[in-house]
Amino acid sequence: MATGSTSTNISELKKIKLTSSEGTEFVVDKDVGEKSILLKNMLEDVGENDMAIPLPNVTGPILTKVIEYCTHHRDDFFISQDDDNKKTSDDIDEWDSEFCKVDQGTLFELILAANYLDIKPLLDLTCKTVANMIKGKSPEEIRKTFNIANDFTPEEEIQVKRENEWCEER
Amino acid sequence: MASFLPNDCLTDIFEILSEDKITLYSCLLVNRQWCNSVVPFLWRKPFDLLKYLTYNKLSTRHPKLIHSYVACLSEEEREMLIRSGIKIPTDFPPTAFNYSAFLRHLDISELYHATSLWCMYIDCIYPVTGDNDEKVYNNSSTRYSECVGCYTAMRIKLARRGPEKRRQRQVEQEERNFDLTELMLNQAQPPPTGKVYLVWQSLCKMFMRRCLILKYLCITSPYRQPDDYYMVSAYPGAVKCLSHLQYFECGGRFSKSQVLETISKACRNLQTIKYYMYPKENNQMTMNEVNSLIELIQVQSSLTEFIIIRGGTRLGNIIMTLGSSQATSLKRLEFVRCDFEHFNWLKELSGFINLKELVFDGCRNLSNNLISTSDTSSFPQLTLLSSLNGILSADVWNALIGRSGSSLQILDTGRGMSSGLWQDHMSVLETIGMHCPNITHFTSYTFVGVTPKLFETISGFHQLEELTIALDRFSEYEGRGLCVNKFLTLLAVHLAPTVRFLHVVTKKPCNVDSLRAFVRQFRGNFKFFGMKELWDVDVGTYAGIFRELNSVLLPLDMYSSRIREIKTPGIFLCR
Repeated sequence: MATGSTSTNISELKKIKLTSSEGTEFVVDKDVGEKSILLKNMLEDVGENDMAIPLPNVTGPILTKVIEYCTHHRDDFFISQDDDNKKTSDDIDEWDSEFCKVDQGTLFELILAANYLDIKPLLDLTCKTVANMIKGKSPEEIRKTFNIANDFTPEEEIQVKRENEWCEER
Repeated sequence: MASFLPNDCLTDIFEILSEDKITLYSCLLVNRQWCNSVVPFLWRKPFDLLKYLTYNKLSTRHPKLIHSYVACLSEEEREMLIRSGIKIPTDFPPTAFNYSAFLRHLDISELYHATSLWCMYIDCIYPVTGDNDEKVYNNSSTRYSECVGCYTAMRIKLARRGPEKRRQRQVEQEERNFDLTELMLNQAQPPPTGKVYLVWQSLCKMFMRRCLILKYLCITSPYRQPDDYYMVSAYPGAVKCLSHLQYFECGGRFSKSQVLETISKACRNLQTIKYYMYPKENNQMTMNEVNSLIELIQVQSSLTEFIIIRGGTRLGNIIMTLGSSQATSLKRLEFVRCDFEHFNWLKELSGFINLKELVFDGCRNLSNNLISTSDTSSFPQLTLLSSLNGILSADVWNALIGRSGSSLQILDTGRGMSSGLWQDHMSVLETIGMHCPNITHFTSYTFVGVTPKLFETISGFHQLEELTIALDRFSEYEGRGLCVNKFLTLLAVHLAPTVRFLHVVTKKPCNVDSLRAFVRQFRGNFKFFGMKELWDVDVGTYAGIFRELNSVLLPLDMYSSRIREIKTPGIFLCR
């Protein structure tokens, strides 16, 4: 799957096997797989092993996209961002932006996969993309965009509006 | 497709939108799941979310915010306030959320101001019935606006007066306008008897008791308050609530020892301390305060930023304490209007081996006779060095720059002659040119005679992104020597094409022809060009020039962190 490594380090050329929820096997370079903190920790725990790692929460097409992302960013140093570092949604680079041009279902599956596999930069990227879809929209437009039902009772909605009136834009 | 996302993913999305009040409010009303996830973000720093609103808007938003907080008080607490004569509506239903638990940033002065507005607001807006059940106020909104206007004017004046003058002013106000004074007295009465104070104190107590993790605490007041006002850190629950505090700011003319001691007991993980010192009536008070500050510094596990304003007495001891307890963790030091007499600060600061930012603003006696510039210690990590509004001799500048050298990226030598003598400035520019090849942001000033050296220096900055140059105003007015038109012509030749932000501080605007010549000659692509004092010029023509270049023209006064948020090419004026 993952090819074109730019590094010649021997440990990075090692392969690992992953199995998607449908049972499809994927072989990826170890350094690519280790972009996932979940996989990295698993590999550290089990040591050298030829067994495929099952990923029951990730489908084949989504795993393909995740591997594409990790392969492209294999040489990036992923820095963990603490809570107080301001995150913005307008710093997405061109490749990442193209990568996220997928249907809404795929985008949500990617968020779930990134969350499950613990790939922080992919989670940030996909969340930023969703944030951009939400930005500036009214509640009704958001519901329409994501096909969400309004389950507030009229009384609840009035109460929430009243208590949060201070941030209403008028 | 996945039906919408789980809460932890929604939280990640709202984190990105956490400063976008309008979008957060929309998200709040989408459905119950979104509402539950977005409420902590809206109520984390509610005052910050409101800070860019106009004063008129703020005067209606602050009371509404406080109203929701008052609704979070327990029935007993509200009854206690009612018994004290505060007109709280009695029909508060339980709130949908315990909003007070989400607060992370608390500025007690900001809260006090918002509470003042709320007290006026409920007096004016809520129908008050007279003896015959008739409404006393028919035009409540107008009445509230009048009160806010009066309150604002009074607040500014009270900021400069002591309690005696304040009471006197209230009497004067009463004589002039009895009707308005009744309301003004409600909030203006000196604590702890004033109604505003009682409401404010109830809210502070609620935050200390219910707020789980307070990260930011600012204990200041724009005007004199009694010492009790500052003691929020001694309220029940404060020790637990403040145990995760990261930012602590403390200022005001009061005896701070007790506050500092309570903070020392509760907080061991502060990242930033910002501290305002004021001269005290007696020396013992000052000594006690400094000792308490020293103790607060010593108990922190890893302080990264220390800002001190008006530090004078025992400033050397404070710096030495920082050096002995926080030498490796400290990344940023800022001294504002501090007096460095009587100690060799250069030697003391050299101990901070990981220092990245060093700022002096309006400081005195930096060049004292104890400084030894021949000392060879260095600041290997220093990336930002700034000296504003103070005199720093060439020797000291050269020592600082020589010790940091190639690590420096952001350098501010001040914006006027007050920053030093011209001979000194030449020498400093020469040192910068020799030792600092990696400058990305440079701020300096120039005048006739120095300009060639300035151009020579900035020519060596191959990675320069932002340049701010203040032109000496005297030569412009005298009609000789350096003027902005000539300056721009020369600048275009020397400026690195990497520059994206250029600010020219001048008393007179340049003419259109020289601006056009400049932008055509310059080899790079501007994002922003700022020039002060633009209102005399033909704004339309200026804007046209910059639209051609797809860049933005801004006056310098625009708040710099907001400049980068504007993406539309054109011209923006801000006064």
